[in-house]
Amino acid sequence: MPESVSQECPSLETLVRRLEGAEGEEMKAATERHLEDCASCSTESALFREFLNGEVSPEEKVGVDWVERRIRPPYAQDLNDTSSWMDRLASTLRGSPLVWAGAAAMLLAAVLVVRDAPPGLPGGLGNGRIVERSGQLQAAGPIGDIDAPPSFLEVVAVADAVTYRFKLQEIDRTLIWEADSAQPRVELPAEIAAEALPGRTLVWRAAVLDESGSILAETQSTRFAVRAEGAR
Amino acid sequence: MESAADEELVQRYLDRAETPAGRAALDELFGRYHRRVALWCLRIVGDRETALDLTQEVFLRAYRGLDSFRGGSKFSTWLYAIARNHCFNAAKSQARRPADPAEPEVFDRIESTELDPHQQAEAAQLFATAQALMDGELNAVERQAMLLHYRDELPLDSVTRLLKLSNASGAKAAIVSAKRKLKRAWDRRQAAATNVPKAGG
Repeated sequence: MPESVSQECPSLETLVRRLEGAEGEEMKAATERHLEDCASCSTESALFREFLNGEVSPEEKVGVDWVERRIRPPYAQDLNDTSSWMDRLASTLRGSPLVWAGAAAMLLAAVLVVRDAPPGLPGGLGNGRIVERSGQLQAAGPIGDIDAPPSFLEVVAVADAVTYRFKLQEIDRTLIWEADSAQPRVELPAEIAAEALPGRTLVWRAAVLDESGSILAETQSTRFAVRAEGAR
Repeated sequence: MESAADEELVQRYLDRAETPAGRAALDELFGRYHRRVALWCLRIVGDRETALDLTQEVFLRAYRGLDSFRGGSKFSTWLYAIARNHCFNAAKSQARRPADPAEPEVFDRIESTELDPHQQAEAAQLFATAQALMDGELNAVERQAMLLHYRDELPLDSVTRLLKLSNASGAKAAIVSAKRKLKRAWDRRQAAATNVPKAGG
Protein backbone atom coordinates (compact mmCIF):
# COMPACT_ATOMS: atom_id res chain seq x y z
CA MET A 1 0.00 0.00 0.00
CA PRO A 2 1.26 3.49 -0.71
CA GLU A 3 2.70 5.61 2.04
CA SER A 4 0.06 8.28 1.68
CA VAL A 5 -2.72 5.98 2.84
CA SER A 6 -4.10 7.06 6.17
CA GLN A 7 -3.11 5.15 9.28
CA GLU A 8 -6.62 3.75 9.53
CA CYS A 9 -6.21 1.92 6.25
CA PRO A 10 -4.97 -1.67 6.54
CA SER A 11 -2.20 -3.07 4.38
CA LEU A 12 -3.26 -4.86 1.22
CA GLU A 13 -2.60 -8.25 2.83
CA THR A 14 -4.74 -7.36 5.83
CA LEU A 15 -7.41 -5.85 3.64
CA VAL A 16 -7.67 -9.01 1.55
CA ARG A 17 -7.60 -11.26 4.61
CA ARG A 18 -10.39 -9.31 6.25
CA LEU A 19 -12.51 -9.22 3.10
CA GLU A 20 -12.19 -12.98 2.86
CA GLY A 21 -13.59 -13.27 6.36
CA ALA A 22 -10.41 -14.66 7.88
CA GLU A 23 -10.79 -12.32 10.84
CA GLY A 24 -14.48 -12.94 11.37
CA GLU A 25 -17.73 -11.72 9.89
CA GLU A 26 -17.80 -8.57 11.99
CA MET A 27 -14.40 -7.46 10.72
CA LYS A 28 -15.39 -8.36 7.19
CA ALA A 29 -18.49 -6.15 7.40
CA ALA A 30 -16.48 -3.31 8.94
CA THR A 31 -13.90 -3.56 6.15
CA GLU A 32 -16.61 -3.51 3.50
CA ARG A 33 -18.02 -0.34 5.10
CA HIS A 34 -14.53 1.14 5.10
CA LEU A 35 -14.23 0.45 1.37
CA GLU A 36 -17.38 2.45 0.71
CA ASP A 37 -15.81 5.53 2.30
CA CYS A 38 -12.16 5.12 1.34
CA ALA A 39 -11.14 5.83 -2.23
CA SER A 40 -7.66 4.48 -1.67
CA CYS A 41 -8.62 1.10 -0.21
CA SER A 42 -11.47 0.58 -2.64
CA THR A 43 -9.09 1.29 -5.53
CA GLU A 44 -6.46 -1.09 -4.17
CA SER A 45 -9.06 -3.75 -3.60
CA ALA A 46 -10.50 -3.33 -7.09
CA LEU A 47 -7.06 -3.51 -8.70
CA PHE A 48 -6.19 -6.67 -6.79
CA ARG A 49 -9.47 -8.32 -7.75
CA GLU A 50 -8.78 -7.40 -11.36
CA PHE A 51 -5.27 -8.86 -11.12
CA LEU A 52 -6.64 -12.09 -9.70
CA ASN A 53 -9.77 -12.58 -11.75
CA GLY A 54 -9.58 -10.11 -14.62
CA GLU A 55 -10.37 -11.48 -18.03
CA VAL A 56 -8.22 -10.88 -21.06
CA SER A 57 -10.15 -8.91 -23.66
CA PRO A 58 -9.96 -9.92 -27.34
CA GLU A 59 -7.79 -6.83 -27.98
CA GLU A 60 -5.37 -7.86 -25.24
CA LYS A 61 -5.20 -11.54 -26.12
CA VAL A 62 -2.51 -11.36 -28.80
CA GLY A 63 -0.21 -9.31 -26.57
CA VAL A 64 -0.76 -11.46 -23.49
CA ASP A 65 -0.22 -14.65 -25.47
CA TRP A 66 2.96 -13.18 -26.90
CA VAL A 67 4.33 -12.31 -23.48
CA GLU A 68 3.20 -15.55 -21.89
CA ARG A 69 4.94 -17.67 -24.52
CA ARG A 70 8.23 -15.95 -23.78
CA ILE A 71 8.28 -16.10 -19.99
CA ARG A 72 11.26 -18.13 -18.90
CA PRO A 73 11.87 -19.76 -15.52
CA PRO A 74 13.65 -17.28 -13.26
CA TYR A 75 16.25 -19.84 -12.34
CA ALA A 76 17.33 -20.15 -15.99
CA GLN A 77 20.93 -19.06 -16.10
CA ASP A 78 20.84 -17.24 -19.39
CA LEU A 79 17.72 -15.13 -19.59
CA ASN A 80 18.79 -13.78 -22.95
CA ASP A 81 19.17 -17.09 -24.73
CA THR A 82 16.51 -16.86 -27.40
CA SER A 83 18.07 -19.20 -29.95
CA SER A 84 15.91 -21.67 -31.80
CA TRP A 85 16.40 -25.44 -31.91
CA MET A 86 17.99 -25.08 -35.35
CA ASP A 87 20.41 -22.46 -34.07
CA ARG A 88 21.27 -24.65 -31.09
CA LEU A 89 21.81 -27.63 -33.40
CA ALA A 90 24.12 -25.53 -35.58
CA SER A 91 25.88 -24.32 -32.47
CA THR A 92 26.42 -27.89 -31.33
CA LEU A 93 27.87 -28.83 -34.67
CA ARG A 94 30.20 -25.87 -34.79
CA GLY A 95 33.70 -26.58 -33.57
CA SER A 96 33.23 -30.28 -33.05
CA PRO A 97 35.43 -32.24 -35.50
CA LEU A 98 34.00 -35.60 -34.47
CA VAL A 99 30.45 -34.48 -35.11
CA TRP A 100 31.45 -32.97 -38.43
CA ALA A 101 33.20 -36.18 -39.43
CA GLY A 102 30.08 -38.16 -38.56
CA ALA A 103 27.89 -35.75 -40.48
CA ALA A 104 30.18 -36.00 -43.53
CA ALA A 105 30.02 -39.79 -43.42
CA MET A 106 26.23 -39.71 -43.22
CA LEU A 107 26.06 -37.25 -46.08
CA LEU A 108 28.27 -39.49 -48.23
CA ALA A 109 26.09 -42.49 -47.40
CA ALA A 110 22.97 -40.49 -48.27
CA VAL A 111 24.47 -39.46 -51.62
CA LEU A 112 25.28 -43.09 -52.44
CA VAL A 113 21.77 -44.20 -51.53
CA VAL A 114 20.19 -41.49 -53.67
CA ARG A 115 22.54 -42.22 -56.62
CA ASP A 116 21.70 -45.94 -56.54
CA ALA A 117 17.97 -45.44 -56.10
CA PRO A 118 15.72 -46.37 -59.03
CA PRO A 119 14.52 -43.46 -61.12
CA GLY A 120 11.02 -42.04 -60.82
CA LEU A 121 9.10 -40.09 -58.24
CA PRO A 122 7.42 -41.83 -55.35
CA GLY A 123 3.81 -40.82 -54.92
CA GLY A 124 1.31 -40.38 -52.14
CA LEU A 125 2.35 -37.09 -50.60
CA GLY A 126 1.59 -33.45 -51.14
CA ASN A 127 -0.16 -31.84 -54.06
CA GLY A 128 1.76 -33.19 -57.02
CA ARG A 129 4.81 -31.01 -56.51
CA ILE A 130 6.87 -33.75 -54.88
CA VAL A 131 10.64 -33.32 -55.01
CA GLU A 132 13.51 -35.67 -54.28
CA ARG A 133 15.17 -35.36 -50.94
CA SER A 134 18.17 -33.10 -51.25
CA GLY A 135 18.86 -31.67 -47.84
CA GLN A 136 17.21 -28.45 -48.94
CA LEU A 137 13.49 -28.04 -48.46
CA GLN A 138 11.85 -25.46 -50.67
CA ALA A 139 9.64 -22.85 -49.10
CA ALA A 140 6.48 -22.25 -51.11
CA GLY A 141 5.05 -19.33 -49.16
CA PRO A 142 4.65 -16.83 -47.70
CA ILE A 143 7.81 -15.20 -49.06
CA GLY A 144 8.82 -11.54 -49.27
CA ASP A 145 6.35 -8.68 -49.17
CA ILE A 146 2.74 -9.73 -49.03
CA ASP A 147 -0.50 -7.77 -48.97
CA ALA A 148 -2.28 -9.47 -46.07
CA PRO A 149 -1.35 -11.60 -43.07
CA PRO A 150 -0.72 -15.16 -44.24
CA SER A 151 -3.17 -17.90 -43.35
CA PHE A 152 -0.71 -20.75 -43.86
CA LEU A 153 2.92 -21.81 -44.20
CA GLU A 154 3.75 -24.14 -47.05
CA VAL A 155 6.73 -26.02 -48.43
CA VAL A 156 7.18 -28.14 -51.53
CA ALA A 157 6.40 -31.76 -50.65
CA VAL A 158 9.23 -34.23 -50.11
CA ALA A 159 9.29 -37.98 -50.74
CA ASP A 160 9.32 -40.21 -47.66
CA ALA A 161 8.20 -37.30 -45.52
CA VAL A 162 6.30 -38.33 -42.44
CA THR A 163 6.24 -35.04 -40.58
CA TYR A 164 6.68 -31.46 -41.63
CA ARG A 165 7.79 -29.26 -38.75
CA PHE A 166 7.06 -25.56 -39.10
CA LYS A 167 8.42 -22.77 -36.93
CA LEU A 168 7.42 -19.13 -37.10
CA GLN A 169 9.91 -16.75 -35.53
CA GLU A 170 10.64 -13.14 -34.99
CA ILE A 171 13.52 -11.57 -36.81
CA ASP A 172 15.73 -12.22 -33.76
CA ARG A 173 14.70 -15.90 -33.93
CA THR A 174 12.42 -15.76 -30.92
CA LEU A 175 9.92 -18.51 -31.44
CA ILE A 176 6.35 -17.33 -32.00
CA TRP A 177 4.65 -20.59 -32.92
CA GLU A 178 5.44 -24.09 -34.07
CA ALA A 179 3.46 -26.99 -35.38
CA ASP A 180 3.90 -30.44 -36.87
CA SER A 181 1.86 -31.57 -39.82
CA ALA A 182 1.61 -34.64 -42.01
CA GLN A 183 1.05 -32.31 -44.95
CA PRO A 184 3.51 -29.85 -46.48
CA ARG A 185 1.19 -27.04 -45.48
CA VAL A 186 -0.03 -25.89 -42.11
CA GLU A 187 -2.79 -23.40 -41.38
CA LEU A 188 -1.91 -20.54 -39.07
CA PRO A 189 -4.31 -19.90 -36.17
CA ALA A 190 -5.90 -16.45 -36.44
CA GLU A 191 -4.11 -15.10 -33.38
CA ILE A 192 -0.76 -16.17 -34.81
CA ALA A 193 -1.51 -14.71 -38.23
CA ALA A 194 -2.31 -11.49 -36.39
CA GLU A 195 1.34 -11.35 -35.32
CA ALA A 196 2.16 -10.35 -38.88
CA LEU A 197 1.55 -6.66 -38.34
CA PRO A 198 2.09 -4.38 -41.34
CA GLY A 199 5.76 -3.60 -41.80
CA ARG A 200 6.92 -6.23 -39.31
CA THR A 201 9.27 -8.83 -40.76
CA LEU A 202 8.79 -12.39 -39.55
CA VAL A 203 10.81 -15.48 -40.35
CA TRP A 204 9.71 -19.03 -40.80
CA ARG A 205 11.49 -22.30 -41.25
CA ALA A 206 10.43 -25.83 -41.88
CA ALA A 207 12.05 -29.21 -41.59
CA VAL A 208 10.85 -32.51 -42.95
CA LEU A 209 11.28 -35.65 -40.87
CA ASP A 210 11.15 -39.29 -41.86
CA GLU A 211 9.61 -42.20 -40.00
CA SER A 212 12.50 -42.40 -37.53
CA GLY A 213 12.31 -38.70 -36.78
CA SER A 214 15.48 -37.89 -38.69
CA ILE A 215 15.58 -34.65 -40.58
CA LEU A 216 15.45 -35.27 -44.32
CA ALA A 217 15.65 -31.66 -45.35
CA GLU A 218 15.03 -28.18 -44.09
CA THR A 219 14.33 -24.79 -45.53
CA GLN A 220 16.49 -21.76 -45.19
CA SER A 221 15.10 -18.96 -43.08
CA THR A 222 12.32 -17.44 -45.12
CA ARG A 223 11.31 -13.87 -44.45
CA PHE A 224 8.04 -12.19 -45.14
CA ALA A 225 6.32 -8.97 -44.15
CA VAL A 226 2.87 -7.56 -44.71
CA ARG A 227 3.24 -4.34 -46.66
CA ALA A 228 2.58 -1.23 -44.64
CA GLU A 229 -0.64 0.61 -45.51
CA GLY A 230 1.02 3.28 -47.65
CA ALA A 231 3.22 0.82 -49.51
CA ARG A 232 0.39 -1.19 -51.09
CA MET B 1 0.58 -31.18 -7.79
CA GLU B 2 -2.25 -29.43 -9.63
CA SER B 3 -4.51 -29.43 -6.59
CA ALA B 4 -1.86 -28.17 -4.18
CA ALA B 5 -2.39 -24.74 -2.70
CA ASP B 6 0.02 -21.99 -3.73
CA GLU B 7 1.48 -21.78 -0.25
CA GLU B 8 2.04 -25.54 -0.23
CA LEU B 9 3.99 -25.27 -3.48
CA VAL B 10 6.11 -22.50 -1.99
CA GLN B 11 6.96 -24.80 0.91
CA ARG B 12 7.75 -27.71 -1.41
CA TYR B 13 10.09 -25.49 -3.36
CA LEU B 14 11.79 -24.14 -0.24
CA ASP B 15 12.22 -27.66 1.13
CA ARG B 16 13.85 -28.92 -2.08
CA ALA B 17 14.96 -25.78 -3.88
CA GLU B 18 17.81 -27.22 -5.95
CA THR B 19 16.14 -30.47 -6.91
CA PRO B 20 13.97 -31.28 -9.93
CA ALA B 21 11.01 -31.72 -7.58
CA GLY B 22 11.62 -28.28 -6.14
CA ARG B 23 11.80 -26.71 -9.55
CA ALA B 24 8.70 -28.55 -10.66
CA ALA B 25 6.86 -27.04 -7.70
CA LEU B 26 8.16 -23.60 -8.64
CA ASP B 27 7.21 -24.02 -12.30
CA GLU B 28 3.71 -25.07 -11.31
CA LEU B 29 3.37 -22.19 -8.87
CA PHE B 30 4.66 -19.46 -11.16
CA GLY B 31 2.89 -20.95 -14.16
CA ARG B 32 -0.42 -20.34 -12.42
CA TYR B 33 0.35 -16.62 -12.47
CA HIS B 34 2.14 -16.18 -15.80
CA ARG B 35 -0.94 -14.93 -17.57
CA ARG B 36 -2.10 -12.70 -14.74
CA VAL B 37 1.26 -10.99 -14.37
CA ALA B 38 1.65 -10.67 -18.14
CA LEU B 39 -1.77 -9.01 -18.41
CA TRP B 40 -1.03 -6.69 -15.50
CA CYS B 41 2.30 -5.58 -16.96
CA LEU B 42 0.84 -5.17 -20.42
CA ARG B 43 -1.95 -2.96 -19.13
CA ILE B 44 0.49 -0.72 -17.33
CA VAL B 45 3.12 -0.25 -20.01
CA GLY B 46 1.12 -0.88 -23.17
CA ASP B 47 3.79 -2.49 -25.32
CA ARG B 48 4.51 -6.16 -25.17
CA GLU B 49 8.30 -6.01 -25.31
CA THR B 50 8.45 -3.87 -22.16
CA ALA B 51 5.67 -5.95 -20.63
CA LEU B 52 7.75 -9.08 -21.19
CA ASP B 53 10.76 -7.49 -19.51
CA LEU B 54 8.65 -6.43 -16.56
CA THR B 55 7.01 -9.82 -16.28
CA GLN B 56 10.40 -11.54 -16.22
CA GLU B 57 11.58 -9.09 -13.56
CA VAL B 58 8.50 -9.63 -11.41
CA PHE B 59 9.05 -13.37 -11.36
CA LEU B 60 12.76 -12.92 -10.80
CA ARG B 61 12.03 -10.73 -7.77
CA ALA B 62 9.51 -13.22 -6.49
CA TYR B 63 11.99 -16.06 -7.02
CA ARG B 64 14.72 -14.24 -5.13
CA GLY B 65 12.36 -13.28 -2.33
CA LEU B 66 10.56 -16.59 -1.92
CA ASP B 67 12.50 -17.53 1.20
CA SER B 68 11.20 -14.36 2.83
CA PHE B 69 7.61 -15.32 2.08
CA ARG B 70 6.20 -16.31 5.40
CA GLY B 71 2.70 -17.45 4.63
CA GLY B 72 1.25 -14.68 6.79
CA SER B 73 -0.44 -13.56 3.61
CA LYS B 74 -1.54 -15.48 0.59
CA PHE B 75 0.98 -16.05 -2.16
CA SER B 76 -1.33 -14.34 -4.65
CA THR B 77 -1.42 -11.16 -2.53
CA TRP B 78 2.32 -11.27 -2.03
CA LEU B 79 3.04 -11.70 -5.74
CA TYR B 80 0.53 -9.00 -6.62
CA ALA B 81 2.29 -6.56 -4.28
CA ILE B 82 5.57 -7.26 -6.11
CA ALA B 83 3.96 -6.85 -9.52
CA ARG B 84 2.09 -3.71 -8.51
CA ASN B 85 5.08 -1.93 -7.01
CA HIS B 86 7.53 -2.98 -9.70
CA CYS B 87 5.28 -1.97 -12.59
CA PHE B 88 4.15 1.28 -10.98
CA ASN B 89 7.78 2.25 -10.40
CA ALA B 90 8.65 1.39 -14.00
CA ALA B 91 5.74 3.45 -15.31
CA LYS B 92 6.77 6.34 -13.08
CA SER B 93 10.31 6.19 -14.40
CA GLN B 94 9.06 6.19 -17.98
CA ALA B 95 6.88 9.25 -17.43
CA ARG B 96 8.09 11.27 -14.48
CA ARG B 97 5.10 13.57 -14.61
CA PRO B 98 1.47 13.06 -15.58
CA ALA B 99 0.89 14.04 -19.19
CA ASP B 100 -2.09 16.28 -18.53
CA PRO B 101 -0.89 19.91 -18.32
CA ALA B 102 -4.09 21.16 -16.70
CA GLU B 103 -3.50 19.83 -13.19
CA PRO B 104 -5.32 21.39 -10.28
CA GLU B 105 -3.21 23.59 -8.06
CA VAL B 106 -3.61 21.36 -5.05
CA PHE B 107 -1.82 18.50 -6.81
CA ASP B 108 0.87 20.79 -8.18
CA ARG B 109 1.71 21.87 -4.69
CA ILE B 110 1.76 18.33 -3.31
CA GLU B 111 4.04 17.15 -6.09
CA SER B 112 6.55 19.95 -5.63
CA THR B 113 9.86 18.71 -4.29
CA GLU B 114 10.93 22.11 -2.99
CA LEU B 115 8.55 22.50 -0.07
CA ASP B 116 9.82 23.57 3.33
CA PRO B 117 8.45 21.72 6.39
CA HIS B 118 5.69 24.26 6.89
CA GLN B 119 4.64 23.98 3.26
CA GLN B 120 4.82 20.21 3.48
CA ALA B 121 2.43 20.25 6.41
CA GLU B 122 0.16 22.54 4.46
CA ALA B 123 0.38 20.26 1.45
CA ALA B 124 -0.47 17.25 3.60
CA GLN B 125 -3.48 19.13 4.93
CA LEU B 126 -4.50 19.99 1.40
CA PHE B 127 -4.10 16.37 0.37
CA ALA B 128 -6.27 15.20 3.26
CA THR B 129 -8.89 17.77 2.23
CA ALA B 130 -8.64 16.71 -1.39
CA GLN B 131 -8.99 13.05 -0.40
CA ALA B 132 -12.06 13.83 1.69
CA LEU B 133 -13.57 15.72 -1.23
CA MET B 134 -12.76 12.88 -3.55
CA ASP B 135 -14.40 10.35 -1.27
CA GLY B 136 -17.51 12.48 -1.05
CA GLU B 137 -17.86 13.92 -4.53
CA LEU B 138 -16.52 11.47 -7.08
CA ASN B 139 -17.81 8.21 -8.43
CA ALA B 140 -15.69 5.05 -8.23
CA VAL B 141 -14.06 5.40 -11.66
CA GLU B 142 -13.22 9.05 -11.11
CA ARG B 143 -11.68 8.31 -7.70
CA GLN B 144 -9.63 5.46 -9.08
CA ALA B 145 -8.45 7.48 -12.07
CA MET B 146 -7.43 10.42 -9.86
CA LEU B 147 -5.52 8.24 -7.41
CA LEU B 148 -3.71 6.24 -10.06
CA HIS B 149 -2.80 9.31 -12.08
CA TYR B 150 -1.89 11.79 -9.34
CA ARG B 151 -0.90 9.66 -6.38
CA ASP B 152 0.71 6.75 -8.20
CA GLU B 153 1.86 8.90 -11.13
CA LEU B 154 0.65 6.49 -13.77
CA PRO B 155 0.30 7.92 -17.29
CA LEU B 156 -3.25 8.41 -18.51
CA ASP B 157 -3.06 5.59 -21.04
CA SER B 158 -1.95 3.16 -18.30
CA VAL B 159 -4.88 4.25 -16.15
CA THR B 160 -7.19 3.76 -19.12
CA ARG B 161 -6.00 0.20 -19.62
CA LEU B 162 -5.94 -0.69 -15.93
CA LEU B 163 -9.49 0.53 -15.39
CA LYS B 164 -10.58 -0.94 -18.74
CA LEU B 165 -12.16 2.34 -19.83
CA SER B 166 -13.53 1.95 -23.32
CA ASN B 167 -14.71 5.50 -23.98
CA ALA B 168 -12.78 7.47 -26.60
CA SER B 169 -10.97 9.76 -24.15
CA GLY B 170 -10.24 7.00 -21.66
CA ALA B 171 -9.03 8.14 -18.24
CA LYS B 172 -8.75 11.73 -19.38
CA ALA B 173 -12.55 12.06 -19.42
CA ALA B 174 -12.77 10.72 -15.87
CA ILE B 175 -10.02 13.09 -14.72
CA VAL B 176 -11.66 16.12 -16.37
CA SER B 177 -15.01 15.27 -14.83
CA ALA B 178 -13.41 14.67 -11.42
CA LYS B 179 -11.57 17.98 -11.52
CA ARG B 180 -14.75 19.83 -12.40
CA LYS B 181 -16.58 18.25 -9.48
CA LEU B 182 -13.70 18.91 -7.11
CA LYS B 183 -13.50 22.54 -8.19
CA ARG B 184 -17.19 23.05 -7.50
CA ALA B 185 -16.91 21.31 -4.13
CA TRP B 186 -13.81 23.33 -3.27
CA ASP B 187 -15.56 26.60 -4.16
CA ARG B 188 -18.56 25.65 -2.05
CA ARG B 189 -16.27 24.83 0.81
CA GLN B 190 -14.39 28.14 0.51
CA ALA B 191 -17.64 30.07 0.27
CA ALA B 192 -18.99 28.33 3.36
CA ALA B 193 -15.78 29.12 5.26
CA THR B 194 -15.97 32.84 4.43
CA ASN B 195 -19.68 33.03 5.32
CA VAL B 196 -19.32 31.56 8.76
CA PRO B 197 -20.84 34.16 11.13
CA LYS B 198 -18.40 35.49 13.65
CA ALA B 199 -19.13 34.66 17.29
CA GLY B 200 -21.04 37.48 18.98
CA GLY B 201 -21.46 39.32 15.70
